Amino acid sequence: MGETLLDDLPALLNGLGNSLLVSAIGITVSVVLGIALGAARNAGVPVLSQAIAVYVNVFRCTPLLVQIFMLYFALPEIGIRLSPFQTSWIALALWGAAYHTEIFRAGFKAVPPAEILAARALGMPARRTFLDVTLPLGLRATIPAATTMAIGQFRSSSFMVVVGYQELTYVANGLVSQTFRVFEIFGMAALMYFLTCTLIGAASRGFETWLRVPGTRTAR
Amino acid sequence: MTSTASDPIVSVRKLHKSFDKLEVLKGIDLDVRRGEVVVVLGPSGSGKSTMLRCINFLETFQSGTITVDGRPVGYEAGDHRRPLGEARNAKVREHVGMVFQSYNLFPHRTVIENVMMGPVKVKKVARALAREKGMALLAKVGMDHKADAYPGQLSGGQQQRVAIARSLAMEPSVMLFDEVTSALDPELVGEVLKVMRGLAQEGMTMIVVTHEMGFARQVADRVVFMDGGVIVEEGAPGDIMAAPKTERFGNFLSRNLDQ
Ligand SMILES: Nc1ncnc2c1ncn2[C@@H]1O[C@H](COP(=O)(O)OP(=O)(O)OP(=O)(O)O)[C@@H](O)[C@H]1O
Ligand SMILES: [Mg+2]
Repeated sequence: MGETLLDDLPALLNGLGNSLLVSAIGITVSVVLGIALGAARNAGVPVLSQAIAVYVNVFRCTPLLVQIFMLYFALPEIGIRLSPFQTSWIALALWGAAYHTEIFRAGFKAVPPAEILAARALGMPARRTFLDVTLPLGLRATIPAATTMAIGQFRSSSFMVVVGYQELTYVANGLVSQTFRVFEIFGMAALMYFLTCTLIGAASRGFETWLRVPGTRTAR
Repeated sequence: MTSTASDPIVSVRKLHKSFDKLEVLKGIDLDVRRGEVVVVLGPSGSGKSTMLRCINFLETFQSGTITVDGRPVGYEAGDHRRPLGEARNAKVREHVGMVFQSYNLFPHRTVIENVMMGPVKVKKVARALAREKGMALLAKVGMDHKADAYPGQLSGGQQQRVAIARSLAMEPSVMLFDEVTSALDPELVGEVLKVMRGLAQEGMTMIVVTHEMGFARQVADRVVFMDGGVIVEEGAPGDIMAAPKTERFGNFLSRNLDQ
């Protein structure tokens, strides 16, 4: 900690780095899980489908903060001890995957049945049809919603302050309690969150443009 | 053409199909021999599409049997009627090409990739060979100049010709056409019918559901008239379309005369 904001910048950037680290892991795991579980839900795999629905409901209908407390404070009682870092990415992954599952399920469901029928008529078995038709078409349609969720996950990494993980909010909070420069330091942290989210949004739009299929673009 | 005229490619026996309580097919018997072009006519809702979709098992059916090239469709041959299962259904579908009214090309794949999809993904043909054969098929339907375009960049008639090439790429034993010109502007219908005429002349076995009376008259070896889930009348187009034996077919023809 120092006299000016410039002196605090390295610490804040370090906190941002930690936020990005748990978010990147949490988002990646949750997206992969979301695609797999969303596909299973969309295919209506018996038993598994119902189990996934229960999972989604539990994680969607309880506060993230409570989920973090459960992971960090309740699990040790049954002998599972997670570090703040592990708690952070696992919480983001499990909470996010519930939403991503619904996002991808909706995306797969929105793929026109005619395209799927054409694939089946060519002799493509169900799994091939999913990989070559449903998945690529469904993913394109879900990029905006999945991005919004990913941004939400990154912002929610600030909740990890409660388990003492050294992410951006934790670092900013510590600096404030030592320097009392509340406005500057929280302002800087907010700006860092804002810019990162803006960058994620821009990258997502770039990705969408890159994947855009010629001939399906609506007139500007 | 070495058409061994007697062996049926498609054989439908006592086919019954219901959607819940609605019985749509009420005992269909149909044999299609190698190289034969069968045109199926009939009013809307008579079960023409449903019958085609049973032939490649895109629809289940309650009773009766279907074979394609001697292979049972959907259910084990014999008394037990056990479902064949995903893998074997897919195998049967490889031998049955189907072209839809709404083209149904894969929008995220180029024209040539659409045509290569079946051979590469299903038959595991090497990409280079699949591309070469695909280009030849596109040339055949007059679409080779658009090989690298996406479906969304093509007219309806062009998309439909690509869809035909995509089906042909699987080298099917029989091609099913379900009102493939019905979604097209009148001036685009001709280009698709021309491709189908060409296929018929080459000896492709075809079952064609259409409202194009001219096509039926000129190209069909046999016309089948369906109404209410049964085959009401069938015969050579020159005979039954000139002198329908049943009143139902007569009425249908007079309603569709202008086409
Ligand atoms: N998936 C379905 N569920 C319930 N009923 C269906 C379904 N598909 C078709 N039907 C019904 O089955 C009957 C036959 O339909 P089908 O599409 O085979 O007729 P069609 O002869 O092809 O008619 P068209 O000339 O209009 O295409 C119709 O009464 C239709 O409403
Ligand atoms: Mg129909």
